[in-house]
Amino acid sequence: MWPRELRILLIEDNPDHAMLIQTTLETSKYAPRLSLIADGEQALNYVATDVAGRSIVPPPDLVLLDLKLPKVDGQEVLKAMRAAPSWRQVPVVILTTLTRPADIDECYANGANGYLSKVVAPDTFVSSVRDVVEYWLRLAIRREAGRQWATERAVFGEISLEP
Amino acid sequence: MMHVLAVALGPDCARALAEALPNQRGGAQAEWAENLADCRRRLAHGQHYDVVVADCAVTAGGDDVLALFQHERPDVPVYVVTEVEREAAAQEAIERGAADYVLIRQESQDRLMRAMTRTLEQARNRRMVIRQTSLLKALLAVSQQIAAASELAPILASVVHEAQVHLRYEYVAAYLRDGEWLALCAVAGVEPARLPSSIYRLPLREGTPGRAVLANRAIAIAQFSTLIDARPALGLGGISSELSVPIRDGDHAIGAIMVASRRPGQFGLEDERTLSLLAEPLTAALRGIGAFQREQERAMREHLLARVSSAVNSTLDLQEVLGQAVAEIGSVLKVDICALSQVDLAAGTLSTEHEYVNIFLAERRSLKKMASINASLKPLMRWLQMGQVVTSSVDQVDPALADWWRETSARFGAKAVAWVPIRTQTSERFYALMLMQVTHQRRWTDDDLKLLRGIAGQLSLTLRNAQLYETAQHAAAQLRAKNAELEAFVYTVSHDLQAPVVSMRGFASLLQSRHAGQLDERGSLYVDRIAANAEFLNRLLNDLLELSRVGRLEEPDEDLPVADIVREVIDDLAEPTQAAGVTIRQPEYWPQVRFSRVRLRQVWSNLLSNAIKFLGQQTAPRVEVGWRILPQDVDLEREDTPATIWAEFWVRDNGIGIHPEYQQRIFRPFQRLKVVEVDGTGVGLSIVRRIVEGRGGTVRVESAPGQGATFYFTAPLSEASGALRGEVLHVATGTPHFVD
Repeated sequence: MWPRELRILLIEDNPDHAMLIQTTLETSKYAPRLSLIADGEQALNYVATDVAGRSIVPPPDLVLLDLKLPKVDGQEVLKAMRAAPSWRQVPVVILTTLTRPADIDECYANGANGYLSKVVAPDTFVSSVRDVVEYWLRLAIRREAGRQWATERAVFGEISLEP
Repeated sequence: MMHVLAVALGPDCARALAEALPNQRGGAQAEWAENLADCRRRLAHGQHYDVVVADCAVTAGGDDVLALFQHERPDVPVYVVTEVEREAAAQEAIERGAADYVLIRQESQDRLMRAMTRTLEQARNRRMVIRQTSLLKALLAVSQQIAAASELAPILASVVHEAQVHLRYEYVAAYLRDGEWLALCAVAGVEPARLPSSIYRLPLREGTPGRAVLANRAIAIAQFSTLIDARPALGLGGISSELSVPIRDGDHAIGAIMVASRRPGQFGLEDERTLSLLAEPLTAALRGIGAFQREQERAMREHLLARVSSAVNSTLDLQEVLGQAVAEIGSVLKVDICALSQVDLAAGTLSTEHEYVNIFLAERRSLKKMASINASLKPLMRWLQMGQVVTSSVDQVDPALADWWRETSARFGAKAVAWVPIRTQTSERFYALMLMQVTHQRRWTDDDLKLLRGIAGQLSLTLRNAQLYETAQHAAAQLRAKNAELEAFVYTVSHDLQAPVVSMRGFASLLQSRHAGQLDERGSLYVDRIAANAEFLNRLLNDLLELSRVGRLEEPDEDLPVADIVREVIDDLAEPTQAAGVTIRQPEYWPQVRFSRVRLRQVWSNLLSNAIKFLGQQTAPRVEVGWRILPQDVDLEREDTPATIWAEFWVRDNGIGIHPEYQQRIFRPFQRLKVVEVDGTGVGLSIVRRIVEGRGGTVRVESAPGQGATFYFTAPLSEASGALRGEVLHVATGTPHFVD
């Protein structure tokens, strides 16, 4: 169905929230693998690149990012991701209890792809997290398929564009 | 002095003319020209002549001396000298405009000389007539100017102009005395730009105008080149003679009129009389203007205090007020230096903040911006600290201030000084106003000191106000900072609280949905209670956030039809309304209000849901909404700006009612009167109150237990068209119609 295991990076300091999010994804048809980072500093290390500007760790297919993180704020993590070349294309969805318009605006200004409030009815929470995650994973699969298709065509010399 | 041009005269004639010259009253001198070309050259040099005496050899034939003068100098009379046998030629010259002719007969030289004398006299008389006419013209012009002008400058300008044009003086200047100086006020005959700047203010003892003022009589110099220490007043090269006549006010001279010429010995008694005549009307004019200016000065002094006070009241910029006050005091009291300094006794410093220096001071003397209060200054500062005004002058130095006075007079050349303290809140730090006279001695009059004390009082008030204002500003800023901090705190706390609530709700929900089968009935009930309480906690937090936001967010007010808002809210509440079987009654007409849409909805929503919530076990639950115009004072004289009209709106229910004891508390946050099985956090009414009061309105409740409750709030009606207002008023005065 899709070429490989899909990976989600969850950056969340509250273990209960992390567990809840994991639970919502258990029923997803994509069965993504979830990695957890619990503070902002670790997240920055994860995003760090080597001298050649390559990512040390392969970037995930989707990032779920909390804003109120210990040590380094979520907005800073978001900025670091948008500054790293290999992370620039990775979709980042903000998951937070902050509901002030200014906070939401700042997320989008820093390059977030989506925003989800945690302060919603529990069943809404489950379905919305799952829907959003599946939307971005579907997009990732399509992009990958397109890239393969383009690569194959390039191999056969029918198209001269770089993938 | 009469200037004669003799042209081509024979030797006898020339001798007769030369002998006739000394006979003339007022003196006469002659220049001798050879021919027509010679005359032309002299005229081209700008020479001025009163009379021409020419041989008929050069006055006949058309292009001759007579024609030259008639063309170039038509007012100079030309006399023709001729032999008897050529009288016809002379007569022809008369016909062409010559003044007269002198016949040379073979007679004695003596007779010829007498003839010449008579000719010159005739010319002189003629010249006198012309001059008198010119003088009259000049005087007339000057007196017209005096009548028209209320200022000095145009009058003096007119005098010098008239004297130059009508009386044919080469250079004319008018001066006025300013202390030990003489100020040039007007000049004619030369472009002012060509004059060296140093001659605009002359020391009294230099030059004829100053000496004429000092001596109070006319002073003339016939030829500068013969004198070593005299220089022309206008500082121009080529000036040979000068005459200055004083302008008098009573017995003493207040200025001078000066005429100058490139010719030596140009001026005589006649000129002195002419200039005196011109100066005479000036005296009266100057006196009138002087009185006017003195009157103005008195008014200025009187209004100085008023101006300072109005400056104090019109601006909050302290530095601007102080700077303006210092400049005004300096110019109105005519001191040379006026400075406002801050005295800091604790730090031992005196810093000058504002300074006025008379622009006429020869060299600009400025105080040090910051000085230390040394031993010589200390006694003075102590006096000031005690609120004393300190004055000193050259002949009257306070012994305690002797040291300081020595220093000051050495440094500034001070001849009189006054110090006025301006007290502020602290006694160690205050302001002091210093006035200094450098050019001359001055006695500080009682009027001066009274005025200064008044101004000091006014400035003292300003300084205190400024200090108070600063303190208040500081406090307000602190309060704002505290408020912002508090709001940030509320925001952070509610979000920190929200994290565990999210978990509780999430897990409770998971338990309910996925593990319900593993729980017995009691277990399920407990989980439901946990879920319900988590839900409640969540709403509490949201309401708390909302409450903190109501006072902060500034939403634009707009004209809103209340009918639409109420309908929307009733539609939103349709479900609980039907569930409780409530009837809602509302009036036929609603007005328009000026309010924020979101907030007005919130008010109605909170009040209506509140009413529905607390209906209790009422068998026929009913809610009624309505409104009325609030009575107000109508100011009929101000039709153009109608005052805001307020309306009172209400929501009435026939529910459980509120005990009087609690009626005041319900508008405070988190006040729920009874733990009944109803939703609600107890914040709703607080939000209503904050919204309504934030727009200047009021909220209140009327109720008795078991009698239901009526909640009221007021809102401003929109300033819609007069027709609508009329309709609104009409409806409001009638009985409200309710439709079910």
